[in-house]
Amino acid sequence: MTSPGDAAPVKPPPSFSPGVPRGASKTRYPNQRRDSSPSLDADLAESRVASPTPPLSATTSELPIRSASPRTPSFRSSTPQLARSSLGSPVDGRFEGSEEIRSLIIRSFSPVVGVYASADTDELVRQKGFAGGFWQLIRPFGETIPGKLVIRDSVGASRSWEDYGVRFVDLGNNNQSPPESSGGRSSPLAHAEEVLEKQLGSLDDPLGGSLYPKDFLGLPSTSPLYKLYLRQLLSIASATPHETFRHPVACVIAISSRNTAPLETLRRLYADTNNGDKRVPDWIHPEYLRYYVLVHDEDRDDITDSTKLYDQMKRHFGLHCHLLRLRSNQCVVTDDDSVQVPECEWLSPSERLYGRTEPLVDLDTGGLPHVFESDVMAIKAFVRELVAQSVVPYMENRVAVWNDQVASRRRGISGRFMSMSRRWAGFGSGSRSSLTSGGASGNYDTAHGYYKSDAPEAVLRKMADFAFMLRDWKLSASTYELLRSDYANDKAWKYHAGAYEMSAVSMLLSPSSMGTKVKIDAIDQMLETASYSYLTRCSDAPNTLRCLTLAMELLKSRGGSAVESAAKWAMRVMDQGLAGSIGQGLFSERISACYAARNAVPGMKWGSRRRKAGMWSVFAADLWLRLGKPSLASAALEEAERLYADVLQGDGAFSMPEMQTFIDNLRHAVKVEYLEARGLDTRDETATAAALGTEETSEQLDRRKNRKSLVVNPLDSGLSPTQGMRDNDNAADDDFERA
Amino acid sequence: MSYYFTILSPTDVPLFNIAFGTSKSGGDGIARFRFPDTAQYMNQFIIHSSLDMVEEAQWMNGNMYLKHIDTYPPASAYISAFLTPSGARFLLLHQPPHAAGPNANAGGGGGGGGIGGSSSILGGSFAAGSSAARASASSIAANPTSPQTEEAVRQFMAEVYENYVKTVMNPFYRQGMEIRSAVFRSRVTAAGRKWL
Amino acid sequence: MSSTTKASRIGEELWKTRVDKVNAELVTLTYGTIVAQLCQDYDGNYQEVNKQLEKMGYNIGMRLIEDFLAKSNIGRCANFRETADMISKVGFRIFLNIAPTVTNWTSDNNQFSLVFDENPLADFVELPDDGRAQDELWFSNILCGVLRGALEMVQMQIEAHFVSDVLRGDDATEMRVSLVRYIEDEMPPEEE
Repeated sequence: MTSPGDAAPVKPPPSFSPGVPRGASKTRYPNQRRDSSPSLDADLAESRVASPTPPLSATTSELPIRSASPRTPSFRSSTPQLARSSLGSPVDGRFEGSEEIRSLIIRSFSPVVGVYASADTDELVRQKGFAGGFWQLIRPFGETIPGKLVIRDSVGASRSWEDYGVRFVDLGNNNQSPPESSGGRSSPLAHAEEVLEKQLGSLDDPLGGSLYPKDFLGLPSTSPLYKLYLRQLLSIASATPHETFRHPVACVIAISSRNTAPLETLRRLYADTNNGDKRVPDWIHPEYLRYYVLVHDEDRDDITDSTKLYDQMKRHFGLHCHLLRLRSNQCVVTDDDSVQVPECEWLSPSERLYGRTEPLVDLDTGGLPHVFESDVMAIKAFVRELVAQSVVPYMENRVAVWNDQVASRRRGISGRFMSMSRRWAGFGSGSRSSLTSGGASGNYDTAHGYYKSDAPEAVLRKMADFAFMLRDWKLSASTYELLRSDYANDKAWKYHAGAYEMSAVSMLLSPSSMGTKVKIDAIDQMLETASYSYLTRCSDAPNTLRCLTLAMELLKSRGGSAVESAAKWAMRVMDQGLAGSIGQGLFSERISACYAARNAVPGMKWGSRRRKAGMWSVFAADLWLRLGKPSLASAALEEAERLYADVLQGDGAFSMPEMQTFIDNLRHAVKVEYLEARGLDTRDETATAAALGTEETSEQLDRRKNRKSLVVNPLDSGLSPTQGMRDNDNAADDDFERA
Repeated sequence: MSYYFTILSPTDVPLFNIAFGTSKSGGDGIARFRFPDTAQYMNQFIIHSSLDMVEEAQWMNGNMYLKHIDTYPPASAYISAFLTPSGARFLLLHQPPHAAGPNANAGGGGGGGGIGGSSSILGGSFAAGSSAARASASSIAANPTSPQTEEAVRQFMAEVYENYVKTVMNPFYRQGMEIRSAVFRSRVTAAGRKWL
Repeated sequence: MSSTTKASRIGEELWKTRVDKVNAELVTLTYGTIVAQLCQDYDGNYQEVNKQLEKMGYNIGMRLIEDFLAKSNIGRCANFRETADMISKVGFRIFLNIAPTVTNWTSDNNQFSLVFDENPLADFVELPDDGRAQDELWFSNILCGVLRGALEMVQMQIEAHFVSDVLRGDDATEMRVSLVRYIEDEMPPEEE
C-alpha cells in the first residue's frame, strides 16, 4: 500500500473533473506540466520544431535576420491580461495560428536549387564536420532568406516577403526519382506516420505536455505535432513530371580554392549537368540557371589568389558568380564564436527517419554541428545574393517570357478558338503535333505518362509553377485554369489533378478573391475534381492527401463559411483512409479547429460551430486513447471542454444522456490509462485518490452508477466505478470561462 | 434508410427520441445505423452538433420546417429540422443504407496503415461493407436531399407536430419534461411508417 | 322513445340559440389543470382526488340546475327514465355539447348508465404512468358530483360513479347512475 505522500508528485490530468463546470481549469494545468517536466519546456520544444534560427539570431544581429518563427510579434497581444479578460471568443489566438500555417504552406512551395560541388569542395566542407559535403552545409540556410525579398509580379507590382526561401537539393547524389515510383502510395505516407510515432515516442514523459503548448493566454495554438505532420506531407513530393515545383530552378556549381584546375572543373561540372550523368530527364526543362561559386578556404589559402580566380570566373561565366569565404577548420562548441547550424525545417519523411541521428532527442547539443560565426555570415550573405539577385530575377524573367510567348497566345482569341477546334499546333518552342484528331494535342506521351519539357502544356505548367513560387497567385491561378482542359483532353490525369489542385490553391492564396459563397463552391468543385483524378484515376494517395490538406488549411484560414468546406475536406481525408492512425487523430483535432474558427454572429449567441468543434475534439480524444496516448487524449478532452463550455448549461452536463455517458467513460478511461502510464497502480484506490488530490461527491456517485468501462483494460475492472474523482482546485478558475 | 428522431426543448434537453427504419420499398421499419450498436451515442453527438446549424437557421429562416440543414459526412448522416413556435426543435437524422453513401470508401480501402479498429467512432464509411443496400434508387431512401425526401420529411414533421401539440396539452405533462406517452410514441411511429 | 327524441330536439335547439359558447381547449385545460393540481396536492392519493372532484361537482351541480331550468324552461319529469333523457340529451348537450347514450337500465328503472362516446374534459389527457393512476383515478369524476348536486335540487337523491374510462384503457367511458330516493318536502341541504 502506497502512502499518499509517496504518490504526491503525480498531478491529475486535466480532464478528470466530471462534477464541475467543464469549462474550467485552463490556467492551472500548463503550469503544472512545466513543474513536473521542466526538461521539456513547451516553448523550447516548440522552437526546436518550428524555428531553426533562434540559436543564431542572438549572435548575428547585424544581419537583418528575421525570426524564422512565423509567429510574428505583431499578432501577439501586448496586453495579455486584457485579452484574456475579453475571452468571449478565443479567435485572436487562432488567427495567429492560421497565419502561421499559411506561411508554412507558402514556404513549402519554394524554388529548388540544385547543388553540385566539386570533390575538393565537398572535401573542404567535410573537414568542418559535414559528412554530406557542401550541400549539407548550406542547406539549412536556404530555407530562410535573411531580410526582405522583393518580388515583382506579372503586372509589375512589387511586394516584399520576409519568409522567402529556397530548397537546396543535392545534385551530386541524385534524388530525383523516376515517375513510376512516386505512384507507390503507402511508403511515403507510412514514413510520415512513422516519423510522428517516433516524435511521440521520443518524448519520454508520458504527459507529452510539450506537444500541446499553450500560448500565454492559455489558449491552445496549433499543435507542433500537427505542424510536423503538415511539413512532412508537404515535403513528400519528389520531382515528378506533373508538377515542376521540385524541378531545379537553378543549380549552384561549386569549386574550392584548393582546386588546381578551377575553370576546367567548372566547365566539366556544367557539362555534367547539361548532358552528362547529371542531366535532367526528358520531362524536366533543361534550361535552368547555373550559378558558380568559388569556396575560399580562409584557413589555408591566400585570398588574393582566390580573388583573382573569382575575377576570371566572372569573365567566363558572367554575373552569376559568388566568392564564398569559409574556414576549413572544424568548429567545436567551446570555440568563442561557435554557432549551431540551424536544423533543416524541410526534411522529407524518409530523411527524418533514416537521414541522420535524430536531433530532437538530445536537447543539450541537438546533435547539430557547429560552425564559426563568420561562416554563418558568409553563407547567409551568399544565399541572399543568390536568391535576391539571381534566382528570383531569373524566375521573374522566365515567367515574363513564357507569358508573352506561350500563355498570351493561348489566352488570346485565336488561342481559345484553336483550342476549341482542337487544331492548335505547338506554339512556343515549336513541337508541332501531327496527331490533332480526337481532341488530344498529341504532345502527351501516353506510354510514359508525361509531356516532354518543351511541349506547350509542360511549359505553361512550369510558368504557372514559377508564378506560384513567386507568389503571384493571380497569374498562376489563371494559368492553371488554361491548362485544365488541355490535360483533360489528353487524359493526362495526374497533370489534370495537379492543375485543378493548384488552381484551387492559387485562388485560395490569392488575396483578392475573398471567399464569396460562389467562389467557395467553385473551389470545392475544383478540389473534388483534383482529388478524384489523384485518387481514383491515379491511385496517388500522397498527392490526394496533400491536396486535401492544403485545401483544408487554406479554407480554414479564410474563415467564415469557408471553414465548413475546410472541415468537410478534412473529413474526406479521414473517410478515405488517407491518413494513418496518428494522422486520423490529428485530423480530428484539425476538424475541431476548423469549426472553432467560425465565430458567432457579432452580438448574437449563434453562428458559431462550438458544438461541432467540441464533438470533434471528443472524437480526437477517443482516437488518441485507442492509440494508447492518454496524454494527447487528455489534452483533446480539455480542448473539448473549453469548446463545449459556451453551449452547455451551467452545470456543464450534457442534456443528452448517452453523450454524457460516453464522455464520462472516456474521461474515466483516459484517467486510468494516464495513471497507468505514470506507473501508478490504479487498483490502489487510496493511493490513486491521494495522488489525484480528489474527493468523492455524492453527485458524481449518482451519475456514474451505471456506466460501463469503455476500454478493454484489465486494470479498469479493478477501479471501482463509483470512484468519482474531482480536482479540488478547479473551482478557483471557474469564473473566467463563464463570465 | 435509418432514422433517429429527437425532440429537444429550447434549452437542448431531449424530450423524446426514437429510432426507426424505413417502411418504404419493403423496409421492415427497423433502424440499421452504420455505427455498431455500442456506438449509438453517435446519433446524439451528431444531433447535438447540428444544433449549431439549427440556431443559425432559425434566425435566417422564418419557417417552421427548416429542411435539411446539416450533414455529417463520415457517416452520411443528414439532419432535417423543424421548429415549433415555442422553441422546441424536432430533429430527424436520416442515414441511407450503406452502399448508397456518396463516397463510400472510394479507393480508400481503410488503408494508410492500421486504422482498423480505431475507426468505429466516426461511423460507417470506414467499417466497410456491412449492410447491403436495400432501397431502390427511386425511393426516398436513396437520396436524402431530394425534393421528394424533403417533402416526405415535411409531412412527417407536420404530423408529429400535430401530435406533439396534443401531447403537451395533456394536463399531466409538465412543460420541459421528457415525453413518455406511449400514445405519442405510437403516433410518431405511425407517422414514420406513413411518410418515411 | 318519443321523450328521447323530444329531449334531443330541445337540447339541440337550446345549444344553438341560448348557450354562450366558450373555447373547448380552455375548458379542457382548465379542468385538466385542476385535476393535475389535485393529484399533486394530494400527493398521488387518487381516492382522495376522486372525492374532491365529486365534491366540487356537487357544488357546481347545485348552481347549474338553476341555469339549466331557466334556459330549458322544461317542466317536471314524469319518471326517472325521462330524467335520464333530459340529463343526456339536454343537460350534457347545452353544457358540454355531447349526448352520452343512456343504456343498461335495471328492471326497476332505478339505475342506468351513461356511455360517453366523447368527453371534452378528457381531450389530450393521458393519465400519469405511475402504475396507479390507471387503476385509481377517475379523471372526469366531477361529472358524478354535478349530477348528484343538480338532481338533489330537484328532489332526487342519486348516487353516480364511473365504472370504466377510455383513459384507463377501457373500451368505453361509462358512468353508473342510481336513484336512491325522491326527497319529499325537505329543507334544502347545506352546501357541502
